[in-house]
Amino acid sequence: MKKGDKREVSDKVIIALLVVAVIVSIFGAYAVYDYSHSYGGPVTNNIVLESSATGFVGLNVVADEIKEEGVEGNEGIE
Amino acid sequence: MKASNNSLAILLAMAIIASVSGTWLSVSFMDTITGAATTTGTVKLEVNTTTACSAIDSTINLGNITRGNYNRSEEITVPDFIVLENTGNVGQNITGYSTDDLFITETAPTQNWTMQCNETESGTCVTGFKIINNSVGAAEILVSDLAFAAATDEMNVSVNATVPIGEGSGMKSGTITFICTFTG
Repeated sequence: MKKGDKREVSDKVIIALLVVAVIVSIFGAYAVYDYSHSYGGPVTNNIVLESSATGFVGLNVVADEIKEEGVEGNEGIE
Repeated sequence: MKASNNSLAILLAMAIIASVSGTWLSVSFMDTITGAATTTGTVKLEVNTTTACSAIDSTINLGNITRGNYNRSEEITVPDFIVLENTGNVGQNITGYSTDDLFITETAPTQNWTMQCNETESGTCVTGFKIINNSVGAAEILVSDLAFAAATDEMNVSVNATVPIGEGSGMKSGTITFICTFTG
């Protein structure tokens, strides 16, 4: 190369610059999208309309009471 | 006309710079919007409606009962109730239905197993023993518009159980499910 000749950028450098340009462009678009969404829309209003609880009832069934009417009715009888 | 690689390199470099600058400007502009509210700010929020309830005393023990006789929550030696609390942030109606039968020989709905609202700190207590139905669609109302604020958010449920004549001896247990719904 003679002194004074303009140096030509190689094709590889051009391709590399193209790749960088594409990546930067995509990244930028994503950054704007993400940042704008970080402001958030209206908060979702979760309305719960129903709930439940459980209760338990317990008892013990015992043997029938002994009937003593006959004995009472025989008082005084020998 | 054919563009030289040098020209292409310059154009690409400008494209990259433009892209980065554009992104930076866009993001900066969003921040400017936020920071522009320097005079009066109004903050609005909406507290979500939450309907929730829990049984802070979930068990009634009616003690020993002979066949053909009954016990009521209010009348046993130590009165025993199921205590429900409105743990949400809105007024609630509370209904109840059976999800597990108390007796083997008499299944819900039966006169042998009834319930009522005994007392409530707020709202309308629906008194009078009612048959405990066995489906959520037929759940009986116990209290309407039970409030959620402290000291006004609890109610008692009492149960009346009459042991069927043919019921076998031993421990019996039944389950009542209470549905708490937003009064609107």
